[in-house]
Amino acid sequence: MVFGSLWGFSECIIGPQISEAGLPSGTIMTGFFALLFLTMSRLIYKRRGMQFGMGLVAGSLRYFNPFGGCHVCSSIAIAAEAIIFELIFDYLSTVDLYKIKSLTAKVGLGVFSAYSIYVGGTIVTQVLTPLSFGAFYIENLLLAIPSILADGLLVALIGAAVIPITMELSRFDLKIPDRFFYPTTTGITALCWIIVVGNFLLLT
Amino acid sequence: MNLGKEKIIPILAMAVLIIGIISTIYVYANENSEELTGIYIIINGNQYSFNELNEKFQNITIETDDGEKIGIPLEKIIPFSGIDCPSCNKYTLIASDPYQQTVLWKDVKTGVLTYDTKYNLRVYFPNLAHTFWVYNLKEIEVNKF
Repeated sequence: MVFGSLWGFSECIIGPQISEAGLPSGTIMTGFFALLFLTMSRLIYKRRGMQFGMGLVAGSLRYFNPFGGCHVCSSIAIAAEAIIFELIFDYLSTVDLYKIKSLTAKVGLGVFSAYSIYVGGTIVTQVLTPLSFGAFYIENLLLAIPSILADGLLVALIGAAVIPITMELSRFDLKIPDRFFYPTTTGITALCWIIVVGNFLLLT
Repeated sequence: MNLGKEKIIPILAMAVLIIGIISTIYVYANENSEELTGIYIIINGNQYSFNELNEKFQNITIETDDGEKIGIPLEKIIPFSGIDCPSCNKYTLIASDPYQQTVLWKDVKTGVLTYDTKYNLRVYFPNLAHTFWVYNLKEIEVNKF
């Protein structure tokens, strides 16, 4: 819940600011924030399936901001990115990412996973979103593929730095003591949702 | 970690980097940056300037989930381009990169065409996902069902 909420919070609050600044928000959100939260949760908790759950939480937060609005594309992309992350990390690595020793492998994992997550998530969105509106045409998707594959390059380069750095930083003991765990995580989760919902209410 | 997999990862990374680089070269080589991508648009095979359309039709405001959008109503532009039966067609919105999306008349008639320096020509629809808000728009292609 907490990592999913942080991811969703980033998508809802930071993403639009990055876009307003004229920067490629989709690229930065996937290459940095999504990969950071997904990798951190995997490193700390070493659990399969957790990242998919994070994607559902983050996607829900994105979808309900604003309520009833049409942010279906972002929500679908987030959930798809989480599933692809699970598939890649389950196949290419062990549950315990600390077992990956060489820097080349860490950078490679960052490049491959960031690129695949972005490209896969975008393609899934480009299929499911038009389908949900009854307006999917395969020729439109095929024409978009080269652009999607090209946009993924920057995401891959960001991922090349994010995963090795996250893995190094996570070697520090970041675990919250048991007695503070639930109050802290509940507080962070609630704060994320309150800010996102409050932001929506203020803007409408 | 399985040593075999640790060797596969850099190879996969190299593969996606090569795909990304080749795609980037392909996209830039094929990008349509002709003068039509500026403030001109082709609708149903006819070329119009944005200023011409802007002077001819009164702007309207639509409410989207991204706030209010002010632009020229597509409901007026499409018949102006010589289409007698708008509901008999589907409309493909083609960008210069060349991203494209296809929409039906029921959605087209709710949309607006706008121009700004960030997105150039762009369409907005109140009831469609942002996927359909095509920017750097260069053409609206009209096709019969």
